[in-house]
Amino acid sequence: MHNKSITELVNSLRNKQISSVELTKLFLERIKRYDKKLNSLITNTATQALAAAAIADQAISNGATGLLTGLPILHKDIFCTNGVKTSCGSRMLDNFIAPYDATVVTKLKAAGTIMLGKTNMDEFAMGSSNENSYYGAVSNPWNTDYVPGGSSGGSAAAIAARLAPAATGTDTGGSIRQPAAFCGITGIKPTYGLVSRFGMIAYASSLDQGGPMAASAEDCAVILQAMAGFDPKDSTSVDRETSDYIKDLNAPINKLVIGMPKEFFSADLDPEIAKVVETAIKELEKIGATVKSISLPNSHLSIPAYYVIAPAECSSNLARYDGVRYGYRCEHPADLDDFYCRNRGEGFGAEVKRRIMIGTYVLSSGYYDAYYVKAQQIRHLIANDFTKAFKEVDVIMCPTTPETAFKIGTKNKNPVDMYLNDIYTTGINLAGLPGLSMPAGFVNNLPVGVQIIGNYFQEAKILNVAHQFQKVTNWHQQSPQEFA
Amino acid sequence: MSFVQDDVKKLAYLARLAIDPFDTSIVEDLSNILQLISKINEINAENITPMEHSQEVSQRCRPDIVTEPNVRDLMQAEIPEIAKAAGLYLVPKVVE
Amino acid sequence: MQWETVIGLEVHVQLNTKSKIFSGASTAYGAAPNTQACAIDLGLPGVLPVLNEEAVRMAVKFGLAVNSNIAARSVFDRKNYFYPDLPKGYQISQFTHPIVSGGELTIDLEDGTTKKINITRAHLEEDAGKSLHEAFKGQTGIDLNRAGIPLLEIVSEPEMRSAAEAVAYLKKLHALVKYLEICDGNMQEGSFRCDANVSIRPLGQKEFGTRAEIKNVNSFKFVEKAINYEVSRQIAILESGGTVAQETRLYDSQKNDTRSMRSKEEANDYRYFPDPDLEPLVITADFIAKIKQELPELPTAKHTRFMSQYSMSDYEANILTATKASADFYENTVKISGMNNSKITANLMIGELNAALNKDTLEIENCPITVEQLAKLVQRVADNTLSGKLAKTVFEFMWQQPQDPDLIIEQQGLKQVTDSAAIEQIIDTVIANNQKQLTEYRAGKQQLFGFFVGQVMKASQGKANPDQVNKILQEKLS
Repeated sequence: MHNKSITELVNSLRNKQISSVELTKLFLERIKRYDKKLNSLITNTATQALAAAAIADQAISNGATGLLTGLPILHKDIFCTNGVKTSCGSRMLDNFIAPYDATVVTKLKAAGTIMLGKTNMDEFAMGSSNENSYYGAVSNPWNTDYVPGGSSGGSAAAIAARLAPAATGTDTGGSIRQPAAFCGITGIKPTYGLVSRFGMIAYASSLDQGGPMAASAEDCAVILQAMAGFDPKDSTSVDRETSDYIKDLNAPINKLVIGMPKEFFSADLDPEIAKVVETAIKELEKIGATVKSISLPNSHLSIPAYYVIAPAECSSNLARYDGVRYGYRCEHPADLDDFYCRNRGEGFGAEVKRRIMIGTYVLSSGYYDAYYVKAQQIRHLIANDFTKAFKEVDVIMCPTTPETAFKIGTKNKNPVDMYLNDIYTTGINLAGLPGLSMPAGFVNNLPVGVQIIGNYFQEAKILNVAHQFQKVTNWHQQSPQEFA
Repeated sequence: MSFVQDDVKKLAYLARLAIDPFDTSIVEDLSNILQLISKINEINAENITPMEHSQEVSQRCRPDIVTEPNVRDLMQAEIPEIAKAAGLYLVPKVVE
Repeated sequence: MQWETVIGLEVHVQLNTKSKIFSGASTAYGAAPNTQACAIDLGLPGVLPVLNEEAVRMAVKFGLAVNSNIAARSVFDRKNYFYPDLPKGYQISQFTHPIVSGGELTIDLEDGTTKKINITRAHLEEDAGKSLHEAFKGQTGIDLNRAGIPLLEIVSEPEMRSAAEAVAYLKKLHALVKYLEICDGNMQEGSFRCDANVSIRPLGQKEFGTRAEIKNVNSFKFVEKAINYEVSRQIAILESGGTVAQETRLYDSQKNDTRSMRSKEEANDYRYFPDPDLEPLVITADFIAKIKQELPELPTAKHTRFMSQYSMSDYEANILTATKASADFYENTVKISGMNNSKITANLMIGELNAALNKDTLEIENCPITVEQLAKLVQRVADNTLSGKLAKTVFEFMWQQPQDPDLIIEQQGLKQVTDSAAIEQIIDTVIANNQKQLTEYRAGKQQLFGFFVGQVMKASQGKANPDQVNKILQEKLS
C-alpha cells in the first residue's frame, strides 16, 4: 500500500477500497516502526491526523471529495500549522505553537489531505545535510550513517522510506532538489511566485519557494496542483491563471530539445555521476528528445552570489527572533542587550549565526555596494544566461549534485565545503526558475539525482519530461530494503 | 580577505548575537566564507541593473478595511507570565 | 560674531487610514494595549506585508498639494535596527526611491511677508510601537498597537533661519495635512511629530555647521522654545572655542533645555536594502490625475476665493481659512443666513466665536454652538432684533448653553427696542433727570453726549437701538 502512487491511493480512497483512517493508521505505524532509525519527524500529530481522517471518510461517503481527500502527508516544520508546534528545526522556536496556518497548509487541507506530522530540517532552512537541526541529524534511509541532504532532509528521508506518500519541502538554494537527489526521490522547486510564502518561515525572501516531494513526478504534479496559486496575502505571489500539471504529464516529448550546459559537465564532474546523468538523457533521446550543448557562462558565480544574497536577506528576516513576543528566552538577563544577545546567541545554532553575521557584513555601510549590489548584478547576469539558453532549448538537464550523500559528520570542518554542494542548484533560485530532481541511478549504492530546469512557469513541461522518463525507467520505484 | 576577532565582535553585536569571545573557529569560518563570496569581484558588472526580484511584478495594494480583530489573548497565550503584564510585553528596562 | 541659524525640519505625519499600512489591524487611537496588533504587526514567523492603497493615495494627495514630483516607481526599503518597540527588527520605510520628491510650502512670516520653503522629499513608512518605562520595576512594557500605522515622513530643506520661521512652516504644514484630510493633526496623540535639525554658522559662511537633531517636541510652542534654547547652547559652545557634537538631543519642557540622548547613533548602521517581500510601487499618470480631481480646494485657493466671493480683507480671509473646519463652518453658516449677511457672519466668527474658542482652548470642530444656531444669531442682527451689543450678550448665553438664540432673546427679554416713541419717552425722562448736564452740553461740553447715550442705554437695559438713540438724542439735545 505504501508503495502505491498518490493517484492510486486517492482513487482507492474514493472507491472506498481503503478508508482514510486505515491509510493514516498504516503510515502512522510505519513512522512508529521506522522513524527512530531516521529521525525524520520533529512532531507527530497522530491524534489530530486520525480525527481528520475520520472526517475525510465522512466526506467521502457523502460523495463530496477534493483533489486529495483522505491522503496523509507530512509538512516540513517550516510551515506554520495552527495549534501545532512549528520549530523550523531550531531551539529558537522550540516553544512556538503557530497561531495560524500557512497558505500552503490551508490549500492542502482544503484539497483534503491529512497531516501526519512535521518533518525535521536544517535550522531555519540553512544547510545541505540536515545536520544543523536542534532536533538532531536525520539519516538517509539508503544508508543510515549518511546524510539525507538538506534543508528538507526530514521530508526526503520520510518519502524515501515511504513513511508518507507526500511531503512539503522548501528550496532556497537547492533544499528540495538536493535532498531529493541524495534520497532517490522526486522533488520540484516551482517558479518563484507560484506557491505562496505566507506562513512559510522566511530564510531568504527573494529565493524561498515551497514545493512537493514524493516518489514520482506524477505524485509531485498532483500535490503541486493543490499547492500552487495566487495568494493576495503574499505581495510576491504572481497573479496568473493556474496551469494544469496533471493533464500534460503524458504529452509526447518527440520535439523536446534538451540543453546540456557545458559548464556543468566539465572535467571536474565525477565521471560516475556524469555517466548516470548522461544515461538518463539518452533515455529521453530514445523517446524522441534531442540534445543541444549550451553555455551558462556565469554559473561559476552562483554560489558566491547566493552566499551574499541569502545571508543578507536572512540577517534581516531573522532579526524578529528576539524572545520578546514568542520564541526562546534566556534565564536572568542582566539588561536589554544581554537579553537580546543571549536569546539569539543561545536560540540559534552555529550555521545560522554564521549566515546572519555574513549577511550583516555584506549589508553594512562601506560593503553594501561591493557585495550586496554586486551580487544582485551577478544574479541578473545569471538569469540572462538562462533566458538566452531557453531561446534555443526547451529544458535544461544536468546533475543535481556533484556527489552522492556523504557520511554524517564528515563535512563540518569548513562551512564552505558544505556550500559547494549547491553548484548546480543555486543558479536556478537566483534566476527564479522552476527546477526538479528525479532519481536516475546509483553510485556506490547511493542514489544519484538528475535535474530538469524549465523556463518561467514551465512546471508542467518539466514534470512531463520527468514523467516520461519514469515511464521507461524504474529508479523512482526503488526504495531501501530496510524500509520495505 | 579575512576577518579579525574585532570585526567579528562588532558584527556579532550589530546582529545581537552572543558569541564565545575565545572561539577562534568563528573567525576562521567567517573568513573562509568571506573568501568564497569575494569571488564576485572577479567580474566587472558595470551597467548591469541589480536584480532584486526574479519576477517583474509591481506592488499590489489592498483596500483600507479593518480585517483583523483583537487577537491579544491568542498571541500572548504561550508566553510565560514573566514576559507579560497588563496586556503589555515586558523586556528588561530600556535605558534611553 | 554674527551667527546665522539654520533649521531643517522632519515631520512624521500619521496618515489617518482605518487600517495599518501593511496589515488589516485597526489604527483607532486609545485601544487597550496590544488589542490592535495582529500577527503581521507582531512580526510572527512567516507573515508578509501587503500595502494599504489609501496610504498611497494620501501620499500622492500630499505630493500634489505641495507641487512635488511623484515617483512613477518607488521602492520600500528595510531600515534594520534592534529596539523592543520594533517587532521585526527592521522598519519598512523608503530610502533611495521615495514616493514624493521636491515640492514647496509657502509660509507666512510675522512681518506679513511670505517665504517659500522647499521640501526635499516625503516617503511612506510604518510607525513603531510604544515603550512604557515607568510602570514596571526594572522592566519596560511594550504596546504594539501603534506598530504598523502608516506615516508620511516629510523632510524640508534646511532653509529656515529662525525658530519663528520653523513654527510658521509647521503650522502651515499642519493646516495643510488637515485640509487634505490625510491626518487629524492631533499633536497630543502623536499624529503630527516634529524633529528639528538645528545648526549655526557665521553669517555669510556657505558651509553648514554641525547639526544637532532635537526630538520629543509635541507642540508649536515647545518647538520654538527648544530651537531657541538649542541655538543659544550652540552659540555658547562655539564662542568658547568648543565644537558642536552631531547628536540627537531630547527637549525637556519642564527645564526648557535639550539634553543628549545616549548615543544610539554610533552603533546604528541601518543597513538599508530593498525589502524583498514587497514589489516596487508603480504609480501611473492616470492614477495621479484621478487623485488630482479628488483633491479638496487647497488653502491658498480658498483664501483667494473668500476674498473675492465674500468681499473680505486679506486679514479676514486668513483667519477664516486658517483651517478647513473653520472655513467650512463659515460657509455653512452663510448658506443658511444668506450671502447678504456674510459680513455680519464674518464679524461674529472672527470676533465673538474665535475669542470664546481661544478662551476655552477649543478647536472649532468641538464648537458647542452649531452652524444653525449661529446663522440664526446672524439673522437676528440683520433684521434689527438685536443690536451688535445685544448680540454679544446673546452669544455669551449661547456659549454657556447652546440653543436657538430666539429662546434666549425670549427668556432674557433681550429684544432691541426700535419703537421711536418708546425711545423718545426714555430720552425725555433721562433729559428731565439730568438738567445740569443738559445745560453744560448746550453750553458747549460736547463730550457729554456720550454720558446721555450711556444713561439712555442704562435706562433701557441696553436694549434701545443705538442708531435711533443717537438720532433722537441729537434732535432733543440741540
